[in-house]
Amino acid sequence: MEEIKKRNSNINNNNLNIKETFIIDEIDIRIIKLTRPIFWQDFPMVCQQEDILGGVLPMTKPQIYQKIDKIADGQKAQGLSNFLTLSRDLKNLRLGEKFSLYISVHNFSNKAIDNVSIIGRMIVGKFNIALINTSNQRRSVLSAKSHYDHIIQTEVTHFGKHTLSFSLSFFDPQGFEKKFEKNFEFSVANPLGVKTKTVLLDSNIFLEAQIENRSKTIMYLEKVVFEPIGCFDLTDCNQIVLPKKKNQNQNQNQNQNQNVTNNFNQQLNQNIEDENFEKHETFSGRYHLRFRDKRQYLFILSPKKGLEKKAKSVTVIGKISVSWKSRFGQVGRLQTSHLQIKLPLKQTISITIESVPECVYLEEPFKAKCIIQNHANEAIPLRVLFRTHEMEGIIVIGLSGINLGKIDPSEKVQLELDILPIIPGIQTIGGIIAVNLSNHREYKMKQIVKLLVRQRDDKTIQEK
Amino acid sequence: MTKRNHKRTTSETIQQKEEITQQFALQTFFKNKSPPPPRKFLTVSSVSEDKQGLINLAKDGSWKSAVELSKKLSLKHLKDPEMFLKYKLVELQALGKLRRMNQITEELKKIGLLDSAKYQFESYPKTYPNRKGSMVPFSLRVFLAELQHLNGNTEDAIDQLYTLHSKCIREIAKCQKIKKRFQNKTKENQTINNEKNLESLNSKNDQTNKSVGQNENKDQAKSISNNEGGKEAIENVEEERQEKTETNELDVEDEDEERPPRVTAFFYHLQHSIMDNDIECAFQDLELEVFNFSTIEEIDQKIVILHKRQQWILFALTNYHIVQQNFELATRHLWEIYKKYTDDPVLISIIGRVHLKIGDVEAAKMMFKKVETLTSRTSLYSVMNRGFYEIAMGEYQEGYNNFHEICEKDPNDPIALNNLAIMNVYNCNVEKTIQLLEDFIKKNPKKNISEPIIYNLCTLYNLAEQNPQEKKILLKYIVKTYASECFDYSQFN
Repeated sequence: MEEIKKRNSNINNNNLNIKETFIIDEIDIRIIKLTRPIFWQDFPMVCQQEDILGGVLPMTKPQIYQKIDKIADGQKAQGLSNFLTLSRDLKNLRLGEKFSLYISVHNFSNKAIDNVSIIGRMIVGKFNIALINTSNQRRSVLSAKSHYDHIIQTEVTHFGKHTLSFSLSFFDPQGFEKKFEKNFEFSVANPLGVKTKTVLLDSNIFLEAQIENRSKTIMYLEKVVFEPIGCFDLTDCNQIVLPKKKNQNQNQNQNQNQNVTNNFNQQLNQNIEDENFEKHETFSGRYHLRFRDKRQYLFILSPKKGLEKKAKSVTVIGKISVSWKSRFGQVGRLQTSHLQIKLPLKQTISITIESVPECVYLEEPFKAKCIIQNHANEAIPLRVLFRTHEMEGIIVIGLSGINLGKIDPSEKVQLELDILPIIPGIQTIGGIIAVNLSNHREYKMKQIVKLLVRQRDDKTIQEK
Repeated sequence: MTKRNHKRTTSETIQQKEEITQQFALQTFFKNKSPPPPRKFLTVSSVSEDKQGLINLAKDGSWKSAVELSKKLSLKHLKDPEMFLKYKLVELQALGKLRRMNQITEELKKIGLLDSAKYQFESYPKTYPNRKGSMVPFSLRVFLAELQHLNGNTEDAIDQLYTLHSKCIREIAKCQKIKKRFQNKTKENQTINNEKNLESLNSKNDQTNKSVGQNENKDQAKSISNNEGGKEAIENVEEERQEKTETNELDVEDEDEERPPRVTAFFYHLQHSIMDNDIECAFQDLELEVFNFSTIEEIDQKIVILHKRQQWILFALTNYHIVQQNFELATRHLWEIYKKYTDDPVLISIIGRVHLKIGDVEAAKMMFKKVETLTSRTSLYSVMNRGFYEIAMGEYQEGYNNFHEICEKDPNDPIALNNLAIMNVYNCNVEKTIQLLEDFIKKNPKKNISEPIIYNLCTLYNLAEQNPQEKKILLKYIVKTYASECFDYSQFN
């Protein structure tokens, strides 16, 4: 935490009485971060009862309020105490969490100051967030050796370097208006990393999301929800419906090892009724993320009935909203920006091979139908080229280039190609390129056509 | 001459200055009240020079004197290595409390390898007749493991603790096997005796009258067995003896081991292999204890001790796992212990607190509910847990009320008072917090000064005091005057 103090001298400071100078050094603003408290961790030194100091160590014994019949042996070695402590610095602030600040304005001098008001702002880059402004409710007097406290709560919505700037204005005992400014700096990190991948299958969009914990402290993921835009229906694939029978505890154990998120709370409620604490292992499902732990989620978006056309042309599909809890239940919530989807590019010119004979033999030419279609809105002059160096294993017989002339929009041109296979095995047809003669753009064949080129037996060759 | 005088005067002036500041500190802290007398630590001369004296020193918290006395006593027992090690353990524990790392390493060098022949009972057949195995106290091994954490190597501490844990498990399994064999043998012996009894009865009834008591039967059975089935009986007894020795020296290999102990044991030994004579011993595996049981009760007692050790290690491991943020392992160990102690509210509260640390408030709530059913809704455990739960839900006023309740029932409870004070900060009242904590220390400074309270006070001084450094120095003097010697002064930073 850096403190940058600025002391502005007063505006009307013409009559300075040397005897009664007011030292502005005795005014101060102090802050402390008020996140949730921390349990004090102790490492007690323990020894066995048989040893010499058996009855003496540990020095601080666990607090026992009433007689317990069966207390676990060795419990005095346990160090997670009940003591709460406050965090000392402004580090480890995370985006998405609420930030509580305790401000204390002190008048350490021997004289009272009048008309005290404080204005506080949080500055992040270009953003200026108002924190506190008591100029409307002027606190009349801050007497000698006293202080005025306030708790501010704000959400941290940007990451990076933040500056807290406080400006205190008051009237000193001589009646001059004075200002005192103080700044604090801290940085906020983004605790989550979200990577997404979309796959388009038929008209359904499969969304894979990987959420990583980039903060150094543990977080417990409560909810990961995908909010799609209006024209999609969401299927959440991250739940497994488990039977509610008591006898199926074994199944529960097995299934708990898989990814169960939202159903976990249901199970918890069941276990309260069943009182089945022994078989309830919270961490077999591992809902908490340590530093650099990742979790995968899968969502399916299917277009709603009647909105299929709209769904096809959409570029943005929705947002992921993650809510988590960290130490002592500190709540955090983040939303990703709108996720985009890359639609498959529509080709202007498409080249497809329509029919190919079932059986193709080595060094025996065969015929294949090739269809060239113009998907654009205007007529395009086309020339079909055959590039031998891009053909492996099969050669097209004929001229290396054919002018097709101008092809109207949506028009198809059918070509019959003579193809000679020269290498046996599985071969692909390639090297067929369409060139737009007006702008010299080339369009390649996207479809992959594979053929099995067989070798005729010696007998059949001899017969022939 | 002048130089010496000058030195004396400077040291005297420093002392005088310290006394003045100490008086000033006491006056300012206790204000109108008269400060209680400063804590006086016991010296070696003020206690008896024996085990009880050492215990008194430790109870009083006079660890410096404890170091001295334990050293003296260990040197007295050079010919009795078992007692030597026990006193050395006390010395190491006292040094550990005082955090004197250099001295600890020196003492460990002097002790040498723990698994060398020097510390085996078999090496001293005259001093320890009929005793086998290692005389190293188990607590010493655990101390050495935990020492790694004090040196900054938490990973090493965890590794060594797991080695000890697996050793405990193997020994428990071995004892249980021996117990089974004992039980089987006694059953067999009983059946053999019963059969012989029947035979003798039949033979007797044929020959003599019916007034034969049980004892006579047995004797006759013995005599008959000695005469008639004599050879068989002798063979049986010899077989029993052989099997007993076999079972006692069995090496159990097929037990569940959480970590491969051989690798970690190897490095553990290498670390401590300093004496040239014992380099061979450095490469020996961590041997299991050799058991020499004669009754089943002895086995049962041993198993109880071994279980206690195992649980101790599990609790210690949870501490280090929590420090490393490895909460999954920490809770796994706690659940293992829970299987045996399902009715221990303190244990369940601990599990709840670990869950709160992660942020899993729902699971913590479940644990706290279980504690409520075990004790009662108004028991101090439940109230404390409820206080924590309220804080987790952001309801600080409710938490405050809960801690206030405990403070009323038990005004001397440091934990409840500390937590109540912290709640005042969340209620925007730092002044009251500082007042509460300072008043608590003033009540009984010798007992009530503890690290978390001082830590919190220092944090709050930064917020509320004009000159926090000065206040912390004054507080340090108070702590020096009243707290035990093992107080960790790093809280003041």
